[in-house]
Amino acid sequence: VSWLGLLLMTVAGAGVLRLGLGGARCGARWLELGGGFVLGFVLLGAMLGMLEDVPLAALRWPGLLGLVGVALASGTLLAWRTRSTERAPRPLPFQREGLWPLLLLALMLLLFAALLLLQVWSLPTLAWDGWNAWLAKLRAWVEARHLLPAVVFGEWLAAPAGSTLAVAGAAYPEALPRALAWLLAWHGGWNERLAHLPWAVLWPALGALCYGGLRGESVPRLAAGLTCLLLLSLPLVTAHVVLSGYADLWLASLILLALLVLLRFGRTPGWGPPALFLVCLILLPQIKLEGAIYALLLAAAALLWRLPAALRWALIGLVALLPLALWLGWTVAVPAPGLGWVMLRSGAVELPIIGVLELHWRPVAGAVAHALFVLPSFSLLWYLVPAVVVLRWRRALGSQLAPGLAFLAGAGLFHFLLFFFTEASAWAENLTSLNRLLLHVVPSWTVMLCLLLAEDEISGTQRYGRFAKSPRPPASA
Amino acid sequence: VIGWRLRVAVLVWSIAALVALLWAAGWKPGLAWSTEAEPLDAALWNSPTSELQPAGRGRRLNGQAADGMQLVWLDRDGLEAGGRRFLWLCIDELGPEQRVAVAVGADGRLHWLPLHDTWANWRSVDLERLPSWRGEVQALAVAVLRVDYLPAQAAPARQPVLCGAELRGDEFASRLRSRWTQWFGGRGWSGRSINSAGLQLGESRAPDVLPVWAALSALALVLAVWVGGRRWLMPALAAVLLLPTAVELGQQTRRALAAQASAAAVDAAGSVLSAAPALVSEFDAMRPALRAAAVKRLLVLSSNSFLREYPVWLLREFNVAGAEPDWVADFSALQAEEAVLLVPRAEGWAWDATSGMLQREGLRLPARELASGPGWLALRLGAAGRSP
Repeated sequence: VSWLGLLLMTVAGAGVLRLGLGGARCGARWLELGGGFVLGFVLLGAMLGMLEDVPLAALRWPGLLGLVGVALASGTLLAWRTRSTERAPRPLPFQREGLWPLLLLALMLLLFAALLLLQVWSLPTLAWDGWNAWLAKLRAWVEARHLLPAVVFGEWLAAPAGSTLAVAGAAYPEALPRALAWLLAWHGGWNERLAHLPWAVLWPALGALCYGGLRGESVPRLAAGLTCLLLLSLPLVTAHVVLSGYADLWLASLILLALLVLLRFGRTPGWGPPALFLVCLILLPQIKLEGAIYALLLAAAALLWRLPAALRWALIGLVALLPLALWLGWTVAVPAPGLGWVMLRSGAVELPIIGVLELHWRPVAGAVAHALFVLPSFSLLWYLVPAVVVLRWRRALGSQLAPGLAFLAGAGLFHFLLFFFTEASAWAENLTSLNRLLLHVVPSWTVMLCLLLAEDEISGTQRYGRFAKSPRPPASA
Repeated sequence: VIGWRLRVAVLVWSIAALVALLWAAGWKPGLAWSTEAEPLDAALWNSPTSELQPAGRGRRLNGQAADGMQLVWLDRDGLEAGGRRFLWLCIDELGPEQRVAVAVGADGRLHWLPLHDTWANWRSVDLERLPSWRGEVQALAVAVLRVDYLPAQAAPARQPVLCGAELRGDEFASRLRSRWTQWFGGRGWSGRSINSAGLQLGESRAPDVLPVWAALSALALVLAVWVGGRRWLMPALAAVLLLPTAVELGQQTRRALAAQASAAAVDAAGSVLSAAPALVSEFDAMRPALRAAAVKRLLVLSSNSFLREYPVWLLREFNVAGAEPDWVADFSALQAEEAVLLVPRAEGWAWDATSGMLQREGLRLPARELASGPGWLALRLGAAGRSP
């Protein structure tokens, strides 16, 4: 039943993706397979968020009907929709890219998959610190056999016994624990291996999403496969799979999906990509609160690059003047999707749910540099990022990759402000939150690096090349 | 042209790699490759946990302590640390779920240094990583431990062989071997891992291998373009990126073997893996009493975040919450509700059976003992003096 449940989520998510992006591009099946699982899982959790204070068993049929409904609706709309005018570039035959390197890559991926699955299946849940937030809520619901409201300790103490559940991360979004609760509702009780299973599936799903996304941008198989292997073998990625229970890899995967959709703007015709992009933005804060910030940054990147160049740079200049406005004592309100209004004022930022963060410089550069460039968590990624950006930024700004890079620059700025100006600096020093937040953009950066490096090879041939407001037909089709 | 350029490039890169390796491994002018080893005589080893049986030139460790540890004193007569920087250890027939640590006795207690996992039998340990390795140390010991998420009672009975131990001075061969293990050795999961940096193995003063590899990679890319033009850039980039991937594959292999061996052991013993097996067995023993008491509200009080959060995970079938003692401003409502407190003895909690009072740092609460274990007390509030 669990595997069927995971399959159904994938089918529903893949249907939504096919509807949004069309299925004509290279690698579309991979993208639908990987992205479909991620999207379907989070979508199910978000849908089940409408059910409050219900018995665990009551999740079963609404969840099932929801997934079947999404799958059927997508299928129906696909059948009715006008056929896409986009045609896929013809992929090169396997032999032209070298069959043996591809087989070697596949073998390494299979080896990694086997080793990780063995650990996910064997290791116990690590239920403390940041790892406590998501599975702890799930287990509380499953043991109580009821989705009681999760509250902080003080509220739990004040409430009548048995009416609430005390959870360390009570205010955290519930899409993941609810989707997991749906799986466990069919099982009937707590099962640690079953609770870990979606993380084991997330690993290949992220790989398929990465591979499919790159193939969709006409990156050759070998380069796409190698990028996929490098991403999936990053020590922090494997750690988040093996020590199942944390939400960051889910958030990172959905951010990657949103980024890939963003890159299709202006090339895949119709309302599909914008609608799918909007779905991703709505779902991001359902995984983690930080998702609201990323959604805001993605939305800003998408909007900015639809504007005429003069207006775009004027707006960027206006944002650059923000520190001056704050210094003059103004309060600036910025909407964060799913979170509410973020109030910026001189020396402080006020976030809904999280509270007021005092802003001043914290000397954590050494700890951050150690995490990025010395410890093995990210391998050589953060060495490669500045090198490739410096070499390619001029070309990239004039290409379809520009909004993606703008988003990643915005995310970098967000991390910089968070760790160098707020109390989160303490988490930079103990390497906990720092690594987890950087992980959010790791898949996106990995894919972006591959696209930047492959730009010469693919621009003007199979991809559409430089950014244009109105789509041009593919040159090679 | 490519032929001679390739030969020059390989030569340049090899020299650079050698220099980088020498620097990273701590070579300095005048440092000897090898110094005279000072073997620690196996006949003088003794163990409080295991029977030491002759096995070649070493000893087989037969038996283990109740917590699964196999400890061997290598020298207890007092050692002068000066001039002895490295301990070379040969350990054979270790199980995949076993770990090795070195202990130094100083200031009346043992100071532990967990070691990275390695496929090799011999390993070099830089004792200067332990601040207590100075002056005269009281003892030097080596311990074989199980991974900490495996319950001691489920740990398979293994008989590793300690096949040699010797002390060496500051020499390049030892530095190189010690740092090689730190760079490429296994960093197994601990039950309390909250990041992947392997910090549970202690801070290392050795330069890490990643910046060195980054510099060598950059050089390799420049040389590749010089030899074959831009078409060589991507294959070279793929090659330099794949090396850390291969290292990670080895890392995952060790972790998977440890996890699989541990899972097989608990399956055979009818037990479970957990982040803190001692807590699991203690709470398992308390559970019948807690169930019989029909607990309406259970509070785990601890100042330690792990001991506050993990017991809540283990006792989730109850209406349970974890809190620091200071978070409860007023216990009167809890007393009226006859809530149950679960408190760690190590944090100063004590229950006086005569007065029926739970006490800690000026706090006195009427309570009745429901269950007690070696580390924890479970008490029902507001029912002083009543018999169970």
